[in-house]
Amino acid sequence: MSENLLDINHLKTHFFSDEGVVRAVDGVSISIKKGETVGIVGESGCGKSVTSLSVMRLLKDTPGKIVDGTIEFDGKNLLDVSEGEMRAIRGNDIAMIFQEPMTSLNPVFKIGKQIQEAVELHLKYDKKKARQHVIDMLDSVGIPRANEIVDEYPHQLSGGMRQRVMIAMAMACKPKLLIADEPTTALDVTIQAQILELMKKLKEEEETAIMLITHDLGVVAEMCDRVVVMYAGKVVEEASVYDLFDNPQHPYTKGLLASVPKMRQNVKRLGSIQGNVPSPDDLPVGCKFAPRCPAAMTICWEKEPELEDHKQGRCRCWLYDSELVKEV
Amino acid sequence: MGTPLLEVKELKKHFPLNKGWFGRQTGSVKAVDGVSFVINEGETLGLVGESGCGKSTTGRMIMSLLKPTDGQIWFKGQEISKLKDDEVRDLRKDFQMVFQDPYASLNPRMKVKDIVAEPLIIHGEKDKGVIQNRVDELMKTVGLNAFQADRYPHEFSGGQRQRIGIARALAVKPKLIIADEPVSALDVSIQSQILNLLQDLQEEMGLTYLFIAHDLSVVEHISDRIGVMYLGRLVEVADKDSLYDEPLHPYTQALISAVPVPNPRLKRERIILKGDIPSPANPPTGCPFHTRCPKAMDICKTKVPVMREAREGHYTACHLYES
Amino acid sequence: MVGQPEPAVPKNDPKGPRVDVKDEKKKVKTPFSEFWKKFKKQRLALFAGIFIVLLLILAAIGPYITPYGSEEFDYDNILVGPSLAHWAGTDAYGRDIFSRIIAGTRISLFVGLCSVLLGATAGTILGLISGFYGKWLDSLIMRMCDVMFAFPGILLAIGIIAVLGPGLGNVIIAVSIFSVPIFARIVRSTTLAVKATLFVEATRSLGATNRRLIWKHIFPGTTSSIIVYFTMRIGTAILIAASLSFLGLGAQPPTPEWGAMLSSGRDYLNTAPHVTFFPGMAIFVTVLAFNLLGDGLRDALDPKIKD
Repeated sequence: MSENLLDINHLKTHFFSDEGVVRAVDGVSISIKKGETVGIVGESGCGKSVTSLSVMRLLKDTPGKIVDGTIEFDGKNLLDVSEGEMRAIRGNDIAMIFQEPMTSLNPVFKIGKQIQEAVELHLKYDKKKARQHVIDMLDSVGIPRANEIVDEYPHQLSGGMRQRVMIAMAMACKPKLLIADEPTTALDVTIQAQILELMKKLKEEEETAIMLITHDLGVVAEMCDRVVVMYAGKVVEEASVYDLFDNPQHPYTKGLLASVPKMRQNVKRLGSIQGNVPSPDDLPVGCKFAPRCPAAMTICWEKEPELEDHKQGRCRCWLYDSELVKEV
Repeated sequence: MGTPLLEVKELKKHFPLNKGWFGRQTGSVKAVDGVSFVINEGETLGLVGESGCGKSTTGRMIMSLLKPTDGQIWFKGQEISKLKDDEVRDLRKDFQMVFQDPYASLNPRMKVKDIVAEPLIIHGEKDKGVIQNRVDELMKTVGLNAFQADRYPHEFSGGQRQRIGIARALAVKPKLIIADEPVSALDVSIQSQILNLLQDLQEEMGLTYLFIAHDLSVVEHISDRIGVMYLGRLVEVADKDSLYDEPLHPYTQALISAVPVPNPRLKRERIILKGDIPSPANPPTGCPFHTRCPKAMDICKTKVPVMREAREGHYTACHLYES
Repeated sequence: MVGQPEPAVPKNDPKGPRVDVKDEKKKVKTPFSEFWKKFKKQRLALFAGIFIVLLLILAAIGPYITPYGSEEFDYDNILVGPSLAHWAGTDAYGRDIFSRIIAGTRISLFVGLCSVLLGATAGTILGLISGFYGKWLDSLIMRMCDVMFAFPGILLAIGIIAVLGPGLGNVIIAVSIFSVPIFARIVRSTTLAVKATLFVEATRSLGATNRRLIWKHIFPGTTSSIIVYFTMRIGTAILIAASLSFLGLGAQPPTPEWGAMLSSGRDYLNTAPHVTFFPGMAIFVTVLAFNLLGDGLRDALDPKIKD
């Protein structure tokens, strides 16, 4: 297991409220190797963001609690380390980029100051060296006039620029793992292209592993080596990016791929998945996807399938269950 | 072909910027700056562009939600942009809008049946039985159950709410539907449901769509013809095959090449544009795109290019195609 | 018919449309049921609400159940302290203070409710006009409110009484006038917020008239803040009305108004403190109850505060 940089094992993160328990993440196992980009794909409420917050242990201010599982990072179980140690890991070894850059930048501090603080803290640089490092970082993410921008405030920048600043901030301490939660969703297409290019470049130069959380299958195809598909708090399929797009196994993955309009394909009518995205507080008993599945069988309504190894990855579906297949 | 259903001529919308003492006007945001296009009956015109390009403002002017600063809007051979409020009200039967945010576009304090019935009541229907029947019928048309009409919007998912919004738009049997980013707030699997529904409705009722979106794949899928906007201007209009197979304007080329394609085996040469979109309060002189254009020439900095037919049925506003 | 039926029924599901059946039986969640769910968690506010309901009942039937008449003199028992016969003692004329407080409940609640009702109605209309139409009407209404805000509340009320003359009716008018700008401002700001929502724009795009927009969409959107302030202002109004009566500008003796009772007990503060203590307590507890209820309502009605 030591070859993996990050090993999420059977993670369960539940949210507690008066109305009951919401199993936002319910037994998720994901591993990421050094320098690898793993995409986590799913629709709203599938638990992909909660998984990333659990890794960062950023659930403090929410009713969410990690109730089971381990998160091994670099040989350490992140769920066992103290809050102080975790703070040192955050930003230093693991960095995170959020969807909305404005909410994660402090509006009252100058941009340079916000990054510099982390650099001084984590890399133990002195003030002057840290400032130069910050300017270099801003420069490397393609921010023009970096030596002036360091002294500006976040609101003076455009959305694309802010996201670059976020990336510079995340990469400033040379993290081993970058968690990017919908990093380009709020951006325009041409700006998104710039940011994706930038992330690719950084990944190649610094060998950073990336956990890319997104709903955009186009971004996944472009960026990722491996893809994990989540549905209703569980992993339903995992495969290399080529296998997943060439030969999706799980009916949900198939439906998802068919739903996306593809340019220049001239499909008259899109495929679609019937029904609605389930709400995590009201899930069916058997397979969580059964109510929407075009291939649902009797067993799907009664018993939840396990995530089983499969010739090209892992898949959670009765259609590929070794014993059931034998019987037929 | 006859007269088009809708024609927009040199439409402009400038929002005044008030600054300084006594709210003096110090400038204006040129949200839409001279846009012309036609929509024929039964077709779908896609309007695509990035944030701040004026595509939504254009849609709102056609809906008479905003008064144009200048320009004309013709509907079935009648000029409608100068009509009085009362006259506009009658016209609204023919125009309806579907909004982007299905959460904010429905009044949370009203039952779904009252929301769907509202356009009927506004346009003078008083018979409760007629209204009830029409609401039931509309709910079925958009794929919802009639019993759900007694609920409030917050009990529905995003996709279902968008269906409610569509039912409301259909209530008075409009001819033209302006869909402003109708699927961009929805999950992928729900997006395709709504797109399919819109297509089915068009076929069944002979509707005409103005489909406004930023997602090029979605626009390509649903439209017959597509207009590309940049900084308040149309830079290219063509039917979709011609536009996607042979984009003429450098902006369209960059835009199309920037779209991430859900196919990992497809490695494309990508045109990465430099810099950000300029502010519409302070647009560049000449061609609005020249600051980011990889093919900019000297003339682009000074002269605004005129929209002309560069190929048959394929219009673009770019100095590269001026003979 | 186009469009897929929904919720969908899986074709090869032997058990039929489970989701569908369950969905149909689900209780409809009305805005009220949502409000009640949140409100009943607020113990203190709930308690205050029950207390106010009891007060209202008391105001209605009070005079029929009091042990003594409110103007029943008994010169044999003047300024008697609390006892079994007189739970709150008697005043300088031997009148039973407990009975008078109960009789006063009706007056205080009536003054409070009436004045706030009048003020809220006028203020709401002004606020809706101001927020919806904007421009010079907005400036005019808001500047007028600013002028009224420049006076301390009680001084304004005294000024109005000075013009109209003393008496309970005029107290109601005075208090309602000084409630107007508060409601106008609150309703205006909510109107602005609701007016900017997408659903108002959507309704406008359907061709709705301004009148329909205001009464069907914007006014219902402002009701929650109106209810909250309405409740809180009743407390304040009761307090102001009592103060005016205390100063001799409101209810005149022998009316059993709490403020007037307080005022008449002033001279015996050292010898018979119960004469002022009990009416004072009545004012205090009532005002507190309305404020607590208002706080609770705000928390339950505010969509931003969850659970």
